[in-house]
Amino acid sequence: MKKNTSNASSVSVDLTSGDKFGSIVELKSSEKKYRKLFETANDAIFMMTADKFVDCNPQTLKMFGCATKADIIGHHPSEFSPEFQPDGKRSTTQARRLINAALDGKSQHFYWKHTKLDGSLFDAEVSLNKLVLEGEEYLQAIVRDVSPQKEVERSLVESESKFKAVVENSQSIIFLLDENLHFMLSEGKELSVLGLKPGEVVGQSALDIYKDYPVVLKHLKSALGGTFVRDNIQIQDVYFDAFFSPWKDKDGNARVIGMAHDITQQEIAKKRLQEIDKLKTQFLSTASHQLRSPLGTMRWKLEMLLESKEKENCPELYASMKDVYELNLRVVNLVNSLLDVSRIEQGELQTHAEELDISALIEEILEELAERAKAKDLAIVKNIAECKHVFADKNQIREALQNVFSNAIKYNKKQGCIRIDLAQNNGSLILHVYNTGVTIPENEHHRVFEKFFRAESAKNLDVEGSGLGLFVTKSYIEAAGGSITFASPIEFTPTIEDSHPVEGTLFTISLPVKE
Amino acid sequence: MSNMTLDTTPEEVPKRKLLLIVEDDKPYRQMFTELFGKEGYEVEIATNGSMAVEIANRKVPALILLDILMPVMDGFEMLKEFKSSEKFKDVPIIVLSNLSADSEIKKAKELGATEYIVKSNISVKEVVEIVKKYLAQA
Repeated sequence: MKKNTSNASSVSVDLTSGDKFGSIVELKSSEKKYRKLFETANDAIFMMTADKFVDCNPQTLKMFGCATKADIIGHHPSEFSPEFQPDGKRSTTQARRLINAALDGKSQHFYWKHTKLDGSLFDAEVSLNKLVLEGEEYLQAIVRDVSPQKEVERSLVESESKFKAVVENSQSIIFLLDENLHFMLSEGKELSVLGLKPGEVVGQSALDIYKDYPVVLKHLKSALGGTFVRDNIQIQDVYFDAFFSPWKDKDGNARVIGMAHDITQQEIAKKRLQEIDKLKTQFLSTASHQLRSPLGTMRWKLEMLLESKEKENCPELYASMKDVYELNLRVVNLVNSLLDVSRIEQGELQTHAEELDISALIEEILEELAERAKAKDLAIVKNIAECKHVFADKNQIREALQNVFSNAIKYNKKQGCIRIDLAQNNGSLILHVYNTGVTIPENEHHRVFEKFFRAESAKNLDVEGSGLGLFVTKSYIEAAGGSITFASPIEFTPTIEDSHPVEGTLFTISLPVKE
Repeated sequence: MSNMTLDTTPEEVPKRKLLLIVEDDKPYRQMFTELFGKEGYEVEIATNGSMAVEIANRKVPALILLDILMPVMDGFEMLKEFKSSEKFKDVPIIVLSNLSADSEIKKAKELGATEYIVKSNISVKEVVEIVKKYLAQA
């Protein structure tokens, strides 16, 4: 530094005083070198006294936006500074202090906000060193424009403060763990629900803190191993929706980034809803049982009355009684369906699998429904192949098939048709039940198997239905390991010989076959 | 209703066999009395399990129709009692109940019920036929 200073002084001697000091060959050569250095430097280099510039290099003119040296020389440095520096101090006061310190022999190196001649601002790093030439005291100043670096620095600071603000103000808990599952960061307002302060567990091992929570440890280890995990976890009395993400820092070290959000209120609400739902199901079950007693009594009494000899004496009464009896049976069936639903919902569905003769079962059900099909003058076309080795609960499969066939009759048009195809292939039994009845609009497709759902088109038909049949059917088919789907509207030909397809609805039941 | 008939032929049924009906529901009790009394059977009705035990102790029934939900001694307890007794273990017991959960049916069968019938799901004709069948075998 000292050497530089003295060299700089010799440069400035030549520049400021010209031939004043005479010429020595050696000195001239040296002078050339330093002049070159001075004139081509990327930094602004200038000389000044305590109150004005006395000389400068070309870069100084460029940096301060000046056309000629006259714009600078003779001016005070504070003329090239804003009124205040970023720290809020007045530029003139601050400049005076720094200049005086440098003149006292203490080299100064500082950041300074400068203005160009046009008033625009730039950031600079300034070095001030004292020179003594011919008994006169000068300052050598080297100014470097650091605006680009300052800009980067500013944006870094801004980005970090934004990040910090986000993390610190986050409601959810945010955490970062190292490869040994020690906390590197733990922030977020919800830490308070665990009685923790932000950053409190930093440096501590999650393996210790969560030793009583094997699920948490399992997820942390999975994330450390590279697997993203999301789960609802319970810590103390608090439920969290938590994420555990694998991450690697710039040096490739494994980290776990996590986030946890307090969902206790939602969990409590969910549990309450589940309880209410359970109560509702229990109520449904109890009420249905209670209904069965009087309904059963009514059924038997009506049957006894209908069998009595009085029927010949009063046919009108007999006909009315028969209607009441039919209604009674319908309510009995409805109660049975409600009980099925409550059993399904309570998870109490038990199946007693036995080998079924599906084709015989189909015939049996069709026989039972024959009268109703005849009343509508329906054509029933059957393509039934022999199917063996189907193991399922007979009562449940019977009820499921009954529902599907009964719907095919109920929602069919007069003189319509039902086609039933039963085949066995690839380890499955496939039953197709086509009917020419009402089709199900596409916007209702997703609700067909929901309980209490009835298609608008079906309601318009003025046909009785509880909306429980397909819900129960699906549950029973699935309990047997099978599936049920439908397509509507669909075109089909009632028989192979028919060349004209008709429009309708198709239900497809698939059941597993044990070879 | 006194002159109603069912498709039954009372003459073929042995008359002195005791049919014990255990039922707490009054309308059902009345119907059973009407149905089977008219058929000519010796019919006794108990409104709970312990009353049924008393009756059975006087005369061993040929068949028992048993409800499940009853006060004092319910159907399950009564099944247990009868099936563990040397005197009554061979008496066929048909459960006639409106309970229909698989677990209840299974429990009754395990306790020795001969058949389990859900009352509202069966016609009166079928009940009479079943009763006649068992009494004929007794």
